[in-house]
Amino acid sequence: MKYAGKKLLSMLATLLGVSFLVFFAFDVIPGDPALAQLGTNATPERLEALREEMGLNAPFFQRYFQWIAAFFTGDFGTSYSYHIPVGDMILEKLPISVFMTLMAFVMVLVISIPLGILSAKHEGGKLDTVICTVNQVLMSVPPFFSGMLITLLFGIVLRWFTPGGFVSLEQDAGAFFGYLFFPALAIALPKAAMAVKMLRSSLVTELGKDYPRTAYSRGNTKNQVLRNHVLKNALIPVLTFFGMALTDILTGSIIVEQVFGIPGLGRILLTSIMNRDYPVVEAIIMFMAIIVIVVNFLVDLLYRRLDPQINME
Amino acid sequence: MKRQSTTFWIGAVLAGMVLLFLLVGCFWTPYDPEAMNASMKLAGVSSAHPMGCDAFGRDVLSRVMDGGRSTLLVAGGTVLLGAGLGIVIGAITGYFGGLADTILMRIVDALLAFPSVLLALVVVALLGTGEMNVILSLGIAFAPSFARVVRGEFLRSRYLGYVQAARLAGASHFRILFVHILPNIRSVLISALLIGFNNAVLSEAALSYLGIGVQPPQASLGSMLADAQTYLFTEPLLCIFPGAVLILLVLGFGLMGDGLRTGRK
Repeated sequence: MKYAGKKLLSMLATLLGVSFLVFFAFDVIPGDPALAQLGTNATPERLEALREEMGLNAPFFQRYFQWIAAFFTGDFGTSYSYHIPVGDMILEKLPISVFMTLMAFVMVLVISIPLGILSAKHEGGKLDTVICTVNQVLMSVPPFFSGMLITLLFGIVLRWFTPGGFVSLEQDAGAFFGYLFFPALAIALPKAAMAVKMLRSSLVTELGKDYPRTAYSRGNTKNQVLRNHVLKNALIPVLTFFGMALTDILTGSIIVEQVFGIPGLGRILLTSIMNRDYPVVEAIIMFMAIIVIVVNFLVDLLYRRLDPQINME
Repeated sequence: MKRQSTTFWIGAVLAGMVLLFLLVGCFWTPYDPEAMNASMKLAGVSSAHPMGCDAFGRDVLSRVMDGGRSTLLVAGGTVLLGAGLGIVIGAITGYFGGLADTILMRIVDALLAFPSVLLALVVVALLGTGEMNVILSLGIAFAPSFARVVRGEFLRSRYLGYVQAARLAGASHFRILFVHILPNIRSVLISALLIGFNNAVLSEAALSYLGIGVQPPQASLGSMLADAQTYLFTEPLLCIFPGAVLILLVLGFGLMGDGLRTGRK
């Protein structure tokens, strides 16, 4: 518990650091938000008044703490180009990214764990060679290209879905998940390939230790040894990878959204970058960073929980 | 030279072939990659145009060669910048420790909390698009992970016999860091560089796919894929060629890195 408290503190410190970096980065770039909002033919008096109103005249640290305080009370500012609260914009799109990420993550687990075990069980055999080769190729495919290939195969040749025919959750939940299945698969495939490779090498290392030999000598079959003795230990090092995969999938969804024409967080982020709509960019970046940091924190705790040896230090 | 594994050589041959192909593209392409020809719009594969033509009637083979060159340039620049920064930061923090270590590693941790594509997007948002800005943004995004790896190695090396001996012999810290320790951690560095290069190729392709990397009319594998997507229904081959070059390049370097790592054990 003491460890969790310490980790929690360090997580908060990282969050503070990240927020400072984000705020600082967007503060030093040239450009006047008041001018951006009013246009170039605004009178100097009006500009000055708006600057005062937006709090732009305050010292840097005062503005930073105001921004942070507002952020934690759920006020993420107002979009320069749409003039609506950033919070509403993000909340509307968040479910798409969240569901897509979770679907892809479940796919990674469902694909990688059985294949990793199968590959390790037949180490050096034909099946293992096939799995390893396919893995290596899949790992080299960028997610947006796998997305295009999936569109080509399932959308155009097999006609299992209509490319570009995205349906929102409110309209039709079934069609929504049916459509998200394909982009999720596009992100999941390269990650699953990496996971299979890691799990396989972790399992092979564990199988070479003394305790599986003892387990064999007591009459266990290879399947029993894998399932009851080795798997749990082999999963521990792979856990960190799964945590990283979850956050990679989240950011990867920004790109894959574009391939499948999904109007999610990624699209807002990209248009906001193009339009220099900084409050939106800042808020989305902060959101993603918070999710990444919290996931890392949880993985750390889980890791401790699963491996008692780390606790003994 | 030490004997390397078969995996390494398969990778080296693949990567070498793609590199040779792209290297030729630096000096010679069959057609001008930016020359448009209205009569050849979306022309299929033929002996004159082995990969066909795109929507503007530009020769795809020439564009793949030219686009691959800019992908290589950006990836190379990214790795140089990222590894350079990472090595200096990692060497100083790992070797000296203390306050500088604590502060720099906090910053590195904060940066590592951003996935690299996201970090690159932020920098592009701040600096604008274009080849140089992409190198800068990806370089900054990749430096933290290099710094982590290098720091670990320097931390481990600093108590080893040869470093202590060098110190007793009166070598300066600078000399110990870069003449004694750095060459000794080369195997770790090389596999980190290979992985970094692959990530840089994939990230560059992703950024130019999103339209915030190399700007048109200049070709890039990522932007060619984005263009080809419009014609996925009618001309699926348009996306296959740039995609295949990208995959072969990454696969080649990936296998090389893999071969090196397993060969060392």
